[in-house]
Amino acid sequence: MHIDQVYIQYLKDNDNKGIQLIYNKYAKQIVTLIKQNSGSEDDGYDILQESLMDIYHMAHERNFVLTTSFGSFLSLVCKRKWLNALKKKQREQVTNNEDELLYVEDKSYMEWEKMLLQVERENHVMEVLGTLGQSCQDIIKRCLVEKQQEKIAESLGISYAYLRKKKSECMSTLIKRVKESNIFKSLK
Amino acid sequence: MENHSEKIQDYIEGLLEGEELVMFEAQLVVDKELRNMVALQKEVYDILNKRTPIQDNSVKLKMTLDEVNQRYRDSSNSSRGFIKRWLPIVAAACLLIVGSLFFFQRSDELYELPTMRSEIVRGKTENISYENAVQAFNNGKYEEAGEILSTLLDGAPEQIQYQYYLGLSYIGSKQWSKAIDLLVPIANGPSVFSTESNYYLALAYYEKGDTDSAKMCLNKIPAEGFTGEKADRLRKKMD
Repeated sequence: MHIDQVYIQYLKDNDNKGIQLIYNKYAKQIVTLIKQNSGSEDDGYDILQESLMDIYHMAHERNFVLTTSFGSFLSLVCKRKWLNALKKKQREQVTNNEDELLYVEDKSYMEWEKMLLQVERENHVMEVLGTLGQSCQDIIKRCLVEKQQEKIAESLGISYAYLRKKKSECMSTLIKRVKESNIFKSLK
Repeated sequence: MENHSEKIQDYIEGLLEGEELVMFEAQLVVDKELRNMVALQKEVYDILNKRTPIQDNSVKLKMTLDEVNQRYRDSSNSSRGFIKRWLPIVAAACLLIVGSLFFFQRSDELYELPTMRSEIVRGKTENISYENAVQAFNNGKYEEAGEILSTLLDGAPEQIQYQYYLGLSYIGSKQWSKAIDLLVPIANGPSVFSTESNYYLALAYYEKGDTDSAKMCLNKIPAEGFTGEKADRLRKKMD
């Protein structure tokens, strides 16, 4: 385990001072990187923030171990995210060669790549979930967390059958929207 | 395929039993599209199962990141703002200093006197008094140089060279009227000192407040060359 694993822990613990340290140490470097590749300062800070969220989610994988410096890893995640953002926007060509931009001298790169792809898919599902009506979101979340659906139905003042039917409809809508999205078409 | 959605959910949640489960699994073996749908729904379920329990923490982390991000950017902007606020003032001050130095330097340059030429040829000193004047003049001791040159000129009034350097000695010691008296005939004459005499005469007139006479003298100086450039700058200064 790399000594910089402490930065991962700051994110997992939602440690305000630790996260401030991350910003003090790496924000300028990341913002400069994005600005050098057709991005603005705002883009740089957005990418940094989103990347830290992605790292937080990756860190919840049981087999996640930081094998390089946090700076290198954060840089890789940001570069990758920015390239995807550029492709998505299709607004400008990346100034640097893509391979050069993503090049990192670490054997764990392929492993990280898989993890980052997975995080992207997860992010997308959660985004789609957020587009459903509030009642659908509540039902899906409660059914996943609380498990005992009879009690959920009772607390909502509806029958268990109605809850199941409603949950089924909500999940169908969610699956349909996820299936239609490009990320699942292209990455699947 | 959407009709299968409910059944797929039940299958994933382990709610299918008995014959219904056997039939569904038999269908899975032969139906590729159904397999893909099950795989997709399974993945979505897994993602929801993974993310939902930590969603509250994710939201909290997102809030912390927003806060730190804002704080960091504010501090960066304020330090940059500080620089931005002071930069024009500092730049202006620098420009003023540099400009002043340039101006004063250029201004001093206008009053700079030429080096007085020695008469020593191959180590032989013919005129000790003259060489003393040269030394005093070139060391900025204009009054001392003036006294020597005045004596020399009294002894050889036809020597324009003595007259010229005596005139310049008066310029150096800011005796403008005496300088004018000596330089006017040289400036209007055909000697090699004519052009430069016109320049120093103009300077003396200018110092006396007679800019018209000063400009008339400057107009006699050819534009090209070192003296021409100095004349031009003096003219601009007068304007």
